[in-house]
Amino acid sequence: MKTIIRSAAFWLVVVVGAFCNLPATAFAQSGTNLLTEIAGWRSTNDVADILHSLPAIEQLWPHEPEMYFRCMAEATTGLSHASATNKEVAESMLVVCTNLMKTNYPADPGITATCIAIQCAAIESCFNAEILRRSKACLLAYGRFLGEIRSLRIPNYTMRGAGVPPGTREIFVREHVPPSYDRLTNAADRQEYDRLAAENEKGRQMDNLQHILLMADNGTKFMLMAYSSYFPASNPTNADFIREIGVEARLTEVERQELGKK
Amino acid sequence: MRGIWEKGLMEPKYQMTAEAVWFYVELAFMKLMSIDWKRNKNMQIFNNYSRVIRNSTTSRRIKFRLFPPALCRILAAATVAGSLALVPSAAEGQDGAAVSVSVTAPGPNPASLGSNVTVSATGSPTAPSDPNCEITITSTNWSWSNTLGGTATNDDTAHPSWTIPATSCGANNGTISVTVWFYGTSCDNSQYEASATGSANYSFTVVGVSTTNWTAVCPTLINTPSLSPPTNFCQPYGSAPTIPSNTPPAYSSGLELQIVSNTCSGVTTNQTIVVIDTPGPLLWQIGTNTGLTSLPLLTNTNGLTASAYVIVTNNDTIGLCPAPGRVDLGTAHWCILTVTTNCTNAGSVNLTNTSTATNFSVSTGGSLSVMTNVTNALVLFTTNCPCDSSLSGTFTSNAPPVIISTWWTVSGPGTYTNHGGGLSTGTITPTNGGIGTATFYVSYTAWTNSAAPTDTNVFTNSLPLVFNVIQISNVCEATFPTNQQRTSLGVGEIVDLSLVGAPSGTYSWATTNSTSPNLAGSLNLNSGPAVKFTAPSNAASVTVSVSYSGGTNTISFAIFEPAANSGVIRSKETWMAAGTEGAGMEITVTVLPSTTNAVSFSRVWLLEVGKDATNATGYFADGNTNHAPISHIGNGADTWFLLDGSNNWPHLGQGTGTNYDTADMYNYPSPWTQGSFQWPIPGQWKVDAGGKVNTNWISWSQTMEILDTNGTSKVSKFSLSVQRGTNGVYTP
Repeated sequence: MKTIIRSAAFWLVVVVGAFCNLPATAFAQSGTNLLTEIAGWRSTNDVADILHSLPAIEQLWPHEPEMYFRCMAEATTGLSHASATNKEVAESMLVVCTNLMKTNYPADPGITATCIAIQCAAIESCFNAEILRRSKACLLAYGRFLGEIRSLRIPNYTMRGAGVPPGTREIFVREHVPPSYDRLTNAADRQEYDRLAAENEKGRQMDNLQHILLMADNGTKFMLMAYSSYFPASNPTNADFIREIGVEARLTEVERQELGKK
Repeated sequence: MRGIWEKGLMEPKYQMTAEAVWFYVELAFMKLMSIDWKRNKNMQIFNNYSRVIRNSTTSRRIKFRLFPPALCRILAAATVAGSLALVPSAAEGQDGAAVSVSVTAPGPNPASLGSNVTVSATGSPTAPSDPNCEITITSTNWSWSNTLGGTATNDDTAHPSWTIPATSCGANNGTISVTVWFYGTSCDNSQYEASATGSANYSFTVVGVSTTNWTAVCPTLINTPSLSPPTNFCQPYGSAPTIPSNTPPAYSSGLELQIVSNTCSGVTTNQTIVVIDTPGPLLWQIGTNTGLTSLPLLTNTNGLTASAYVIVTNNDTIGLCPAPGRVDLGTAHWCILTVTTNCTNAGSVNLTNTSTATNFSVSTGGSLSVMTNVTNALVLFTTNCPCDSSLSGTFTSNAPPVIISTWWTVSGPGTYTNHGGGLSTGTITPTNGGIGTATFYVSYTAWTNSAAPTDTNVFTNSLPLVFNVIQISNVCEATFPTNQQRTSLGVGEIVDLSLVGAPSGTYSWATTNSTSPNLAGSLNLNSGPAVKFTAPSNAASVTVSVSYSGGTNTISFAIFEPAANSGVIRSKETWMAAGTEGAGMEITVTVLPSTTNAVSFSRVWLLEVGKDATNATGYFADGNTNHAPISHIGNGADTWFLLDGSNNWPHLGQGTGTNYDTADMYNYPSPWTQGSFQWPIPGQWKVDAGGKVNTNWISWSQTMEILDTNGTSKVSKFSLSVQRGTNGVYTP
């Protein structure tokens, strides 16, 4: 009961704030607190409170992208079981799922990788509701999401990060010292080393991002292909839908042939 | 004759008896009468008679007729004392004249007092014969007598009869006797005669009876013979006429009486006869044909009219109560029923699915079944009965179809019995997943809107049932190892699970670990036709199951952790300038699981924990700060790295290209002396960047050595080593 009252109070603030044309974030809870609350509701299967928390979660975007996806993942996981049998929840999930397929990620590849991993899990949770699996609009959005994932992938990517920052060997060779940072006495060499180390770290982050994108690609493609079987390509009424998904999801020709197959 | 006189009669050897005396008298008489007598014959007779006299007391004798016939008869009658004639022994060659008498039973017996009784007799003579002298019988003479008198007829024959007045009540006993004379010639042509006698007894009873005339009380009809209604019938053409029930005639018993008086005894009795009139079986008359015991089939469109009757007989033998004879029961009529039909709703048999499920597990299979839904035909029957309007009309009947047979066929994935009879397939156990179809059939006959059912107008209905043979498809997302349908997985591996068999309906997924529930991995969804299974982050055995209407499918996975590093020298570092100390190698390091099965560690991150150098000796421990061993810390250690897609360490070196680890040492200044140091390297791993770190893993080390004062250097790691002189040459 306590959480319900708090949630109601929160919504009162949000609504009043909206009518007063005030920035909602001014009244928003911190993401950490919200995540804690949602986790609690999820553990008690408090579907109503989770549903009521959805607008608040939306307020986290784009300021706290990772927290946004964490809260969404928590919420969709909490709603997931109910959505399989509760039509109202399932219809809410349809909105949530569409909202979740954001792709305007932060510039930081590390944060982006984390966001995408969480985001994919949250989106997949939505598909516990059959209404989503059988929604052409939802699947089309899902295909579009896959296309965005694929657009972020670097073709023929090779790992850029290394255990020892590339280029630092030349510094040690030039200075005729064993390869240890503490043997560098020249400040310029150290600055150069630090610069190379930072670049290496970016490479490592990109490596991780591409790894995450690969997994997101694989998982999303698998789910999309599976759900497309609800709409057999052999049925002429599905032809446009199948074709559009293939385009939006940036599927290869081989992959497009598999769409809509049992 | 001489012999008799001269010898036979004079021989003293014969003892004379009274009868012999009589014999002599007769002989003397014959002598007196000068009868020529054959001596031998006389002697034979004499001897024979003598023997009879000696051996028997019966009064048999043979007589020689020396007297006139009348006298002889008198004599013979006077001497008959028995009932039978003398029967001489033929064996002794004597004459055998004899006669037997038999009497026909007198009649009537009993005889009424005052009436006549007739009795007849028959005599059976045996003519005399003599083997020594042929005797020719020329005539016979019969002399009959009857002790009860009466009038004899034919008394000189062998077959006389008497009419005896029945004048004496009670038993009447009589005897009939006869004497037969045989006349003939002997062998010497002399006269020959002989006689024989015989008799027989008889009896009859005389009663006195007086009767009156018969009087009678005859049977009378005591009911009304009839045919019971209905007597008008309306039946289909060709059918057997319905026989109405009937009431045959019934009669009271009659009685006939006669009074009988016994005039002998004076007793009076009644003689009666109970007269019963008995009806015979039911008979029919059609037209002039009578006596029909059954009726013909109704094949005359004009119908049939028949009269029923019975023949009544009785047991009257006096004739006072004549039998009634034919008694009519009534007349019945049969007309031909005509029926027209109009089927307003045709009958049919449809099939309905009764299968508990149409989703089968590929391992356990299932069965499909149907039931028949019968729709009766609605038929209007209009009848026309010309003889009975009450039987004419229209009525409705529900006519059920008749099922002839049911059977099924199955086509689908795998091999199994694909056809059979009945409404259930029995268990189908396919060998692989997919879509199948079981088609059930029923054949039947039924009324249609245009026709009645016939054996040749057979309808067939079918019901195809599509069934899913569900099989879990498992595809590892990692493309290495190349077998993506593995069930041996590396920690954290992701497996795409989907259902083969055109699934529809509700599916519920779960993953379990019976020994360590917390290490069951996870599923991204718990419903739907496809889910992603993420293997747990530690070694485990996990079973993923999917339940659906009709069954459950499972698939088990074995999850393996990283267990070892295996290194191969990829290349030796040749970039070092001549004259400088140093050696290095690029190592391709592969992480191995604790199984020979191939798995993917594509989500595994490794870490070489940085440690300061240990076990420094010689050059590296001489106190010269320039000789101090460098630390692993900040020199490639303490950086988590994600294994590449082939379970290899990623690019950890300076160059580009394929992934490898670098182990090298360089730029230690001269003058060189022998010395060495080590980097102990504890290893750690985790799944995903944010995963739980497994700190208690294997360790390895890297050793750096200067072998001599020439600055020859050696670097070792993963049991691999390279050795380089300052001239830039690696040995070996």
